[in-house]
Amino acid sequence: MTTRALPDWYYKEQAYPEGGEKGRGTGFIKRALAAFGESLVTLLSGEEGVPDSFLSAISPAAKIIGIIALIVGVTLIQRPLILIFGFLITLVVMGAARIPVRRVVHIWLGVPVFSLAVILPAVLNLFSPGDVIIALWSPGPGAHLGHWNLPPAVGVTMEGLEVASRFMLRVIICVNLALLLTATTPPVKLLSAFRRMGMPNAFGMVLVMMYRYLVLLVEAVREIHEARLSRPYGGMNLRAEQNWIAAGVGNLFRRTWYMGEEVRQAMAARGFGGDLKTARPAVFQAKDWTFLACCILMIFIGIWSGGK
Amino acid sequence: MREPVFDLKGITYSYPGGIKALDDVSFRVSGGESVAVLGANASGKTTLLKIMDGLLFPDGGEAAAFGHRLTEESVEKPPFSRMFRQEVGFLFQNSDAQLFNPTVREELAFGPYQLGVPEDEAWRRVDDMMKFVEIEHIADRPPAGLSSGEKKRVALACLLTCAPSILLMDEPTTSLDPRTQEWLVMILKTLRKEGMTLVCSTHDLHFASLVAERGVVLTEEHRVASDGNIWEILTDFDLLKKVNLVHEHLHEYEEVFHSHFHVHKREQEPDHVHAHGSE
Ligand SMILES: Nc1ncnc2c1ncn2[C@@H]1O[C@H](COP(=O)(O)OP(=O)(O)O)[C@@H](O)[C@H]1O
Ligand SMILES: [Mg+2]
Repeated sequence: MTTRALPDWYYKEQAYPEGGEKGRGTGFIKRALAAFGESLVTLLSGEEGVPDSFLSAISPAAKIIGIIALIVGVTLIQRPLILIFGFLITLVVMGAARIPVRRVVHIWLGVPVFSLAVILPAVLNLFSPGDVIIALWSPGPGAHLGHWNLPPAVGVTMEGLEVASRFMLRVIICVNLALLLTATTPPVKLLSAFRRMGMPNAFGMVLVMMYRYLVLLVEAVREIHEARLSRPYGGMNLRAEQNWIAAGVGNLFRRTWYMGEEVRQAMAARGFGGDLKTARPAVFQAKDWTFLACCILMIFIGIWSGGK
Repeated sequence: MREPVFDLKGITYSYPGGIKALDDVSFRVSGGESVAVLGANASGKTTLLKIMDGLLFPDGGEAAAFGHRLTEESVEKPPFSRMFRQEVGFLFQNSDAQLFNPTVREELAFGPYQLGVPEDEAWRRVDDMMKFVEIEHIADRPPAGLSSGEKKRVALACLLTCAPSILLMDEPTTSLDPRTQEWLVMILKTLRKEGMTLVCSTHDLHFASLVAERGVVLTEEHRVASDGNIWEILTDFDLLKKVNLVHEHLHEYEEVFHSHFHVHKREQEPDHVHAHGSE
């Protein structure tokens, strides 16, 4: 017999231990990790985010000023009709800025649905009186819930509907405006613009570093998960699963530490001495001024036509 | 004994956002073969290996291993999942991804534990493999803090403690110093002699010439440009130029390049060695 290069156990038939189906845990973790990683990567990498358009060409600083002004303006508009008109304008601009519909729907399903849940009770005459247009429940006069006196007929009021729809319209316009800013500006540029506009240096620095880390960390989580999948797993019981998660988290912390060192060193190697120098001074060009002028014009028209 | 272990038919894969990574890729790998997947950066090598390891699943075409089709369900369902994960080891380009235990020793024991190897045998495997890849001196250090060469050794040892018969390796030589590269070549030659199936992705032609007998060349359009004897591929200058594996300016050195690989070819081919020996 020839001498073997590997230990004897390597040549033995490997027995695959019996075991039932894998625990539910793995599947859940896998899905959660995949979803988490995917959404964060697309969100943070900004790779998907910035389609070429007239808005992406405008200086981030001009966009920040203009859009914050517009948001303030929107809160001053009272007439629902003008708000609806404003909403339609944001839609048109979003279309022109080529913001992916998927992204818009994502955001709409999040923030406004949440605010709807908050504002919904206001349409009823439980908190503020009004003319009931749809009666839902008639507890009768003098009814109360604990110490709380109920109106004789609980229902949707005209005033309540108006308040709620105004609120919802404002929320969704603001969401659209914010999206017009964030979906047309790479995160890093947005951050440096905020910094240039006087956000404290340390604060901006922390944000920049956090952003760098998150991207790296998400990448790391994805890779670790894949590596985990590629290793053999017998019917992992709950303990083993927990151990794996604990090990994964521990590993992530350790790696963050090393990475932190390296990110810092990499920045130092490129001449970073505590103050982030921006590549280009913020000089507004004609298109930036035009953008700002348009924003201000819109605000005036909105308040003039729709203010109290 | 040469039975097909991997069978890829018309594999197509795109990442979210429509980023194409593989386009109609087909080839087979037989047991005991050593194949180099050659391609420029972003040609799809990593994606291809991940599909072979059942980590990604093709949009079109079929990938099979050991006669089993690789699908999201099949790679999770015992007994195939267990057999597949034990028999196939994957060496990630970024070793960090693979290493998550507190110490090197525990890292190596992780695989056998998952396989249900009895404790004393598991630790014996760990000791044997630490010796095999020469990492005994770092047994108690945390893997995250090692150098990239040390990490690669640890990562390889982790795979070997599971006694796989197939190794998929994603650009194993990147970030290794020449001495560690040489060591890796030596180890892979040993494993090959022991009958293991090796698939390496690389754009390092020299490394490919040393460890592989067959080459599968991917174009920058993510298709297979050539599949065959590694020597024929490495001496096909036009092919290598077309897929960006050699630089245009290398033209002046074409002669040198040719003779370099021809010399190697003579050294490597068994019958030549024999001929030499009998002289
Ligand atoms: N996670 C990912 N998300 C999106 N695109 C990716 C991802 N990984 C790879 N790609 C893209 O797929 C293509 C092939 O990549 P890859 O398989 O990593 O090539 P190679 O390993 O040959 O460098 C490249 O264009 C790359 O940018
Ligand atoms: Mg790669």
